[in-house]
Amino acid sequence: MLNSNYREVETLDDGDAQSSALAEAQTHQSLLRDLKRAVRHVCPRSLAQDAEDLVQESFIRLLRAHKLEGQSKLSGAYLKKVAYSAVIDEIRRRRREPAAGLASDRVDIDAAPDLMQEEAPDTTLGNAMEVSLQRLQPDRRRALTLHLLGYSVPEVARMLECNAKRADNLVHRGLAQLREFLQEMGVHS
Amino acid sequence: MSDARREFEILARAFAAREGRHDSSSACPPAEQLFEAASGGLDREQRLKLVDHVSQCAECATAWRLAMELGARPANTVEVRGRSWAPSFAMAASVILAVGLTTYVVRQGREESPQYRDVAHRLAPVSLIGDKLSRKGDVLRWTPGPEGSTYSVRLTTADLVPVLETRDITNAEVGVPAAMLEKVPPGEQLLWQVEVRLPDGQRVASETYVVTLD
Repeated sequence: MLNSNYREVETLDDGDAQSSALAEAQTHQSLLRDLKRAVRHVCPRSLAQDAEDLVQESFIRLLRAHKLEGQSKLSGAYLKKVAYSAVIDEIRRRRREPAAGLASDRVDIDAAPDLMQEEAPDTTLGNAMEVSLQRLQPDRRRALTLHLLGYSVPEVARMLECNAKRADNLVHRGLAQLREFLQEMGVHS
Repeated sequence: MSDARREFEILARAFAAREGRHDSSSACPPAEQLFEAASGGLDREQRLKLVDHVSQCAECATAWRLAMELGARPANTVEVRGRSWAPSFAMAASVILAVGLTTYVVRQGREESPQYRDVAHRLAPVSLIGDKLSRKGDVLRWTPGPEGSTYSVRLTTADLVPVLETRDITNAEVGVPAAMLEKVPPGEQLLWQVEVRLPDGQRVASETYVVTLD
């Protein structure tokens, strides 16, 4: 009787462990997918093309490091943050490698047809914007930078800890002044 | 898509496509900090310091946008002043706002000298409507300037997508037809501002008002 109960518990434990491992694997797969999609969407083409390899390598390195530290399981929001950090570290590492940097400036059109469909953004304009932004009053520069990064006005307000009206004014005035500076530099949007 | 929106999209894409300085990594903040800041975490000073860095570092801007793609956004916890005042408290609120604004302007003036001239101008138009807008069609109305003044009005979504823009109208009100509000979801907050052009050519803008679409 006792043995039978013990076997039952053991079986249940095995089952729990299996489903826990399965759930963990699913979480990892889902996060890997999100990371790859994010890298493809956000990173420059040279890195976006390598999204698969870049994310996979970062993730494996991350899991190995945590196993060595004796942390068997990573989950939830914490996993997302550390995986994000691993990817950024990997991007920075690759950028520091001169050979990789040179190679990455070339885009293989056949290998990335979807990446070539969109019109190439204007890097001259982008570089001029960076210079012009530094000439703005700090609050305007911050509000406009956040909006250019993709935050809505209410989100800009939360980031700056001001109200939506002020955030809206800062964005609009910053944008108007940015246009003036760009015109001065002979660059037009 | 409006011209203004299209122009902003071009600017945003160009900003994202800046050429990174490949030797800047040593001065760049750790990835964890960027993720925290993009989520609205860290204290304000630290967060703003990172925004300043991102404004001049293309690589960290990419890292920041990557965090946003993974869901890093500020939580909706900061109280946005001025949105929930009931109309019956408008007078009292105006007094509090005036005192508060004066204190704020004086305090800010010591730090970064923000330009509040338009808001403080005695001829700046002031809204004569409440904080609601009917999707069946409504009217934006404001205090008129001296005779001969003309007005330009801008109504946008919170994401700055233009809903209505009119220029050089002579009446101190403008209709917002239902058709223009068709694509805006119910409960959405809209921002509007009016600029008066005085007979001497001087332009004075109102503050930006927030209205909620029913």
